[in-house]
Amino acid sequence: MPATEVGDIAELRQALARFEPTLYKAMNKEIRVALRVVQKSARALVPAELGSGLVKFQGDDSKTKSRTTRTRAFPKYDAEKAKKGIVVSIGKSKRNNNGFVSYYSIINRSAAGQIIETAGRKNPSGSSESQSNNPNAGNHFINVLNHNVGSLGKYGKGRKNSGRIIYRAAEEDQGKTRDAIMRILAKAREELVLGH
Amino acid sequence: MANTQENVRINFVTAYDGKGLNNAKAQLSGFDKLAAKAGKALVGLFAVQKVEQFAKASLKAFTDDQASVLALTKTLTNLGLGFESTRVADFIQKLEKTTGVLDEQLRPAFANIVRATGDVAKSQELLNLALDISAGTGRDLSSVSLALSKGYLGQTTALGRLGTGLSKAELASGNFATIQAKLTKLFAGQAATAADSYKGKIAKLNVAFDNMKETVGKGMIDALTTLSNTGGSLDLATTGMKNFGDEIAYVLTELSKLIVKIEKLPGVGQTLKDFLSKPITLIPILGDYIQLGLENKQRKDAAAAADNQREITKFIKLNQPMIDKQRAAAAAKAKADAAALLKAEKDKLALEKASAALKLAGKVTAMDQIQLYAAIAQAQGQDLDRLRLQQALLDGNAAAATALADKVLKANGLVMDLQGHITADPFGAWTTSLDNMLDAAIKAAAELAKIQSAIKGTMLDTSAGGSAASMPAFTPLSQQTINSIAAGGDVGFALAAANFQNQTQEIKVTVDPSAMAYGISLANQNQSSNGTQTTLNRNNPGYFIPQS
Repeated sequence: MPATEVGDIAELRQALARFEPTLYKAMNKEIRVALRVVQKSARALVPAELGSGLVKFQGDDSKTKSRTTRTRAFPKYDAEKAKKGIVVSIGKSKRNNNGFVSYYSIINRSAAGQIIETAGRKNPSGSSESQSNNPNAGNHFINVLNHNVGSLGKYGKGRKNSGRIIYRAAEEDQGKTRDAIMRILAKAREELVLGH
Repeated sequence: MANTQENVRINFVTAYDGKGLNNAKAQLSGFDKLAAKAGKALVGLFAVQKVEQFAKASLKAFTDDQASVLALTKTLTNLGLGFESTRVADFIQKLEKTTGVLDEQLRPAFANIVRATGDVAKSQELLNLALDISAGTGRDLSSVSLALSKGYLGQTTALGRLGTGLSKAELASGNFATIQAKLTKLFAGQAATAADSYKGKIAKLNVAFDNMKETVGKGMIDALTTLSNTGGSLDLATTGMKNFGDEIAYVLTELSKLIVKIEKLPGVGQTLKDFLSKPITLIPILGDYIQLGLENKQRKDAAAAADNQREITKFIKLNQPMIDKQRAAAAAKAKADAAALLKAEKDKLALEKASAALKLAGKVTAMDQIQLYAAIAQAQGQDLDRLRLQQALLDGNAAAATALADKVLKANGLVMDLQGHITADPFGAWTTSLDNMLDAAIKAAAELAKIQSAIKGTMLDTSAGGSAASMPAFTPLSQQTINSIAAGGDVGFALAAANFQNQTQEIKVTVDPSAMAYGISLANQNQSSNGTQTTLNRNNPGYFIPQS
């Protein structure tokens, strides 16, 4: 199993960074290449347009003002921004509430990208508690996204591990990227431990 | 709705980070230490505060006690009973010890009574009664003593208010002797009983502590008085201290004003500065000479220093090659030291790397062990031995590993020689070889028997006069067979075969002598193997007789 060969990732990374910086850089480079496979397929899932049903959601939001009490206006969808927002991270994340950290990730950073990624996770048919003048707006929004972007893909357990872009790309990857990363880590560990 | 990055992030590799927990533990530990330190500091502070409080309380106790003593003494003196002061003081002191009532309370009470009675003995008697009433009624000694003193003077109202059980008639009679007798009867022994109770004992302790405070306070006052060195007068000491402070402040203020004003005077300021920089010149006549001497000395010192510097420069110039050599040697040494330091750092880094690698490898071994345990739980037979061997190797259990290794090797038909090489069983092939030899011997014997019978037939035909009819019937060879034999090159045999096809009276079999010898040798060996002795006729090697 790859996990057996990798051991403690934090210690491995520290040891590599200290004793074999060249190897560490090479390893990171290889991992980036592996992650970019998913990144590329995720970016390919970002549609150029969301269709005529969500005209007001699309466009340039640089001059849009907030219509609520929030400082920031509701973002507008821009395909280029959404694509650029899908990035690779090989740094250590903050600890979550359970004490776990992640090392190699794909992140959807853009606000609009996050919206089209996650809309309908909790309420697949829109919120029943909507206070909007158009209570069906949520349902309409999700339906358009499901039609134009795709359904929610899953990578892991629970609804919080589902999404239309990066999660679906990871699902379609079928664990190949993860295995590749583990192999790269195992190889680096072997080179560090055995010295060749 | 996802409004944070954490919700839209795929983590391909995650790991548990115990660092936070360790930090928390360290912080808690640090907090414990801090708390302990703070506790100690607080205890220290508390102790300091308590000492300060105790010192203040001691001073206050002493001053209060002193004031009450002076007040009583003055009262007695005013009553013309000053000579009784010592006796009264002893009485108060004893009463304080026996009843547990503080002397600060007893003295005012006694003073109240003695002012009324004008008699020390009567006052002592009434004070004892007052203590009994106070203990019996729970009223404070001061009010009881005041009531008694008033009652002694004929004012019984206060006595009535004490709730002592006196009737109006008794009170109205104004006969203090009767009232006193009644009160003595009613409250006799109350003070002693109260003193024997726990409350009374605590009161006695309180009295002792208060006395200690008074003693300490007195000691502090005495110490201050002694330090003041003013003949034992604290007033003089405080006055002296105040005057000293005032004088110092005044001198400093005025001196600063004076300096500022002098500096402002034309020409004088510089002179003042000169005076301050050359104070020796202030000494009349001699000062100038001393100053001149000092300046000469400074000049000489400077000249000597310059000479020294010149000598040093000269020395350096003369010994420049040697200095250069030394400098080069020092530089080389510094370089070597730097190289050694670099090497040491590299070695250290290599060691740390090895340590890190070992740690990482060790964690993998741990994972291997987990997997081994899981596999052992499900394995059986030879697989189980093999897994246990792996486990023993991982655990470093040499004895178990050796035993299990032997077991596994034996199971696979392998052994380990003395040099530790794993080989097949050296004796395992012996049985097979012997079996093969036996089979070969049996086959050779069978072939030999055929040859013997053929030879026997030929001999019968030539020497024993046997007939052709006794020969076995031969099937004639076809022409094709004859041709094929001829094509093989054996022309003699082919012709013989052709003749044999037409004439069957005489058969000549030619046997290769070497084949014959081989066959005889095999037969001989076979017989020997079977335990049958054979003899060979050297004159007639084609004929042998087995000895049955």
